[in-house]
Amino acid sequence: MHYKLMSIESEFRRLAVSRNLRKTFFNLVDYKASDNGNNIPRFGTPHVPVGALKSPVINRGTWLRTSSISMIIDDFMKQNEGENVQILSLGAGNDTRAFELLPKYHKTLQYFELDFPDSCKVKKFTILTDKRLYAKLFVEASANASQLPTDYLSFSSSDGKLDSNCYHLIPSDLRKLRKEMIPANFDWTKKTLVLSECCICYMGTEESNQLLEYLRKWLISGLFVVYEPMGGQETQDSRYGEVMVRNLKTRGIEMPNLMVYNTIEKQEARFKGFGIDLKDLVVCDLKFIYYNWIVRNSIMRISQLEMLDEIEELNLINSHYTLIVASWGNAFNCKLRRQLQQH
Amino acid sequence: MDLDSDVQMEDAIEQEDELQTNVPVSNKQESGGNRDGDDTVMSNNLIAATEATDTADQENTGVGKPLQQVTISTTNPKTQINTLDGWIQQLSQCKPLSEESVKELCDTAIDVLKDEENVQPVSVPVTICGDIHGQFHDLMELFKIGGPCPDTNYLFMGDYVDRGYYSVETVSYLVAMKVRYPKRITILRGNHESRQITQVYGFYDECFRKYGSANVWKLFTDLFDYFPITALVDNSIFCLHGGLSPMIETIDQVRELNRFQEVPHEGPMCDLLWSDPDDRGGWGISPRGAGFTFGQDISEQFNHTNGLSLTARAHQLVMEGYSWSHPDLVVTIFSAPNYCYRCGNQAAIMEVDENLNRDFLQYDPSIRPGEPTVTRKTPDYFL
Repeated sequence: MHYKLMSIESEFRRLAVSRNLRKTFFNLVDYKASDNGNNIPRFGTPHVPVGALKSPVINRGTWLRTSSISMIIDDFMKQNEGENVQILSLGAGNDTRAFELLPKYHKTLQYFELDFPDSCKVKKFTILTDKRLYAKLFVEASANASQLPTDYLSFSSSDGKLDSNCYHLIPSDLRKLRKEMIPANFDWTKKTLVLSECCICYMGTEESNQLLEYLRKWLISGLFVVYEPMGGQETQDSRYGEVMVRNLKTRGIEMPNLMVYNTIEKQEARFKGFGIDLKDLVVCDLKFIYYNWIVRNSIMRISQLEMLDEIEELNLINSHYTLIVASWGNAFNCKLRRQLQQH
Repeated sequence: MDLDSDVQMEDAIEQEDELQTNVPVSNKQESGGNRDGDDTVMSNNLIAATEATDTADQENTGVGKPLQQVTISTTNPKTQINTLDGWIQQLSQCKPLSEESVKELCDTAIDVLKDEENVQPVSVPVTICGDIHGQFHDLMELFKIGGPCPDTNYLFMGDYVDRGYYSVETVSYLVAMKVRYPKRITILRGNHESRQITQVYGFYDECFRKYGSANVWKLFTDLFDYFPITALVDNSIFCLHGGLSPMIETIDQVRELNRFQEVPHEGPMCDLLWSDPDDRGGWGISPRGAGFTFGQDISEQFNHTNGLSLTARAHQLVMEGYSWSHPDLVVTIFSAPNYCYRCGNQAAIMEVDENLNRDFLQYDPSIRPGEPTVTRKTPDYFL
C-alpha cells in the first residue's frame, strides 16, 4: 500500500486512493469512525466489521477462481514432474501465486511475471520490504536494499525489474510484446504455462489476439490458462453483459472483449483459430466447474466457513466467467478435464 | 482483487439525491373515501378517523415540517393519520425518517402485526410480490406498474432489506404503509428479515451508516419478529417466502407455531422461510445450508391435503421475474429488477383478481430522470 501510494503524483488523488485501499484491506474507515464502542451489537462477532468485507457471493467466486486455476497449474506441474518448466504470468500485478509455487517447485520452475512498469515497481518494493515475501521468491535482499524509493520522484525514476534464480519480474507493455523484450533466461523451447487471470480481457480484441498468436507461434510447447468474464447471450430477459459493461464503465474500466467473446462457443472458436486442436482445448464456465470439478467435500467445507444464501446469483455470475485451457506441443494433457467438459 | 484507484470516494453514497421520484401514492385522494374506514384499525385509539381528515389537514403535513417532533402516540387519531401520511410522503422521496420516528413507527407496527396470524388470511383481489432487497426506486416502480396502494391490495412475501442501497427507506416505507392501511397491505417475513442475515448482507451496515448507530437496526429486527410468516389468499393460494417443510403437512400446523422469535437455524419456521422447489422428487438437502428442497410429489401432496390451487413464494432470483415449478403447483415471484444492480433480470408481480385469475406484470429497473450517470457504488466483479 505504501508503494502504491508513492506511485501517485497528485496529493489529493493519493488521499482518495489511500482511503479506498485501507477500506479494501483493513476495513478501518467506516467502522472505527462511526462506532464509539457503545453500540456493539449483541449478535454475531462484534469485533469483525461486517461492512467492509466482501460479500459472500464474491468471496465464494474468488475462492472458486483461485482453486480452479490452481487445479490446472498443479496438473501441469504433476504431468511434467522432474522437467524444467516455466510459468509466464501476464499482467501479474498483485497476484501472489508465485509465493506459493516457488517454495514448492523452485528447482524446476522458472516464474516470469509481466506487467506495466508502475505495477511492477509497487510489487517489487513491497516484496523487498518484507523478508517473508522476498525469501519465498529466493530474492537476495541485500543486493536490492539500497533501491527502495522514499518519495514520488525516486519512485518514478526507479526500475521495476526484479530477479532471483527462479523468479523474474519484468516491466513491459503487453500490447507491444516482442521476444527481445523478454530476458534471455526465458527459454522459448521449454514447456511454458501462460497465465492470463483477468488480464487480456482488458486489451483490445486485436491486441489480445496478436499477443496470444505471438506466444503460440514462438513457444514450442505451451499451455494457455485464461480466466475472464464473458458477457453472455443477451436475451429478452437477461442483459447481464450489458449491465456489467455499464457498471464497469462507471469505475473507468473497459473490457473490450466482453461482448465480442461473450459465449463459450465464441471463445472456443477463438482458440481454435490460434491453431489449437480441439482435443487440447477445454472451455468451461465457472458454474460448470463449481459443480463438476470441485469435490463435494470442499464445497461443504467452504460452506461451513461462510454461509451463502445467494446460490442463484452465484450461479448467474459464475456462468458469465470462463476458464480456458488450451495446450500445444504436448505441454499438457487435457484428456481428464475434457472428460468432464460440458456439451 | 480489484485495486482500481479510480473508484470515487465512497462517501458520495451519503449524498442522497434530492430527486423527487414520481410516486403515485397520493394519499390525499384516498383518505376521504368511506372505503378507507376499514383501513384505520391501526391502533386502539385510531378508529375510523379518516372520515374526518380533509384535504386541508393533509396539506399541512408537508415534508418541510419537522416531522420527527410530531408524535404518533397522541390520543388524537387525526393527528396520527397526518403524522403517518407525512412520514409516507417523506419516505416516498427516499428520505429516511429520524430515529425517533422509526421508534414510534415500529412501536405502532408491533400493535398492528402482533394480532395478525401465522397464516394471515387475505382476500382477493390482491397483487402478490416477491423480494425487494432495498431497491427502493424499483419498489416505487412496482407501485406504478401494479397501481397505488391502497387502491390496489398488496401482499409482499418478504426480503425487503439487504443487498440494495436503500433497505432503510424500503422497509420504513412498507411498514409505514402497513400501519396506515393495515387491511390493504400484507407484509410477510423473509429469511433476510433476521438479525443474523442482515449483519452479513448489508442492512446492519446501512443503518449504521445512515444513523450512526445500530439502534434503528435493532428496532427493525425486533419488529421483524412480529411479521406473519405465511398468508392464505382466498383459501386457495398459500403464500410464503421460501417453501414447504418436512415437518409441516397441514396449514393448521403452521398456525400452531410460535413465530415471535428470531428465524431459527432449523425446524419448520426456518424451512418456511428458506426452502426451494426442486426438479428432484422428495425432500433434498438445500445448497443454502438452511431449509430443504422439495419435489413435485411434495407439492402435490401439500396442495391436495390443504385444498390449495397454488403455492406462491419468492426467495429465488428468476430471470423473467416469475417462474413456474411442479409444473404449475408452485410459482416463484421475484420483484427486484436487475438484482444487486448486476444480474440484468426482469422483475414481476402477480395480480390475482376476484375470480382467482392470475396475471403477471413484468418490469425493468426504474429509470430515474436526472440521476447522475456516475452512480454511487457499483457492484463487485472478479477483476
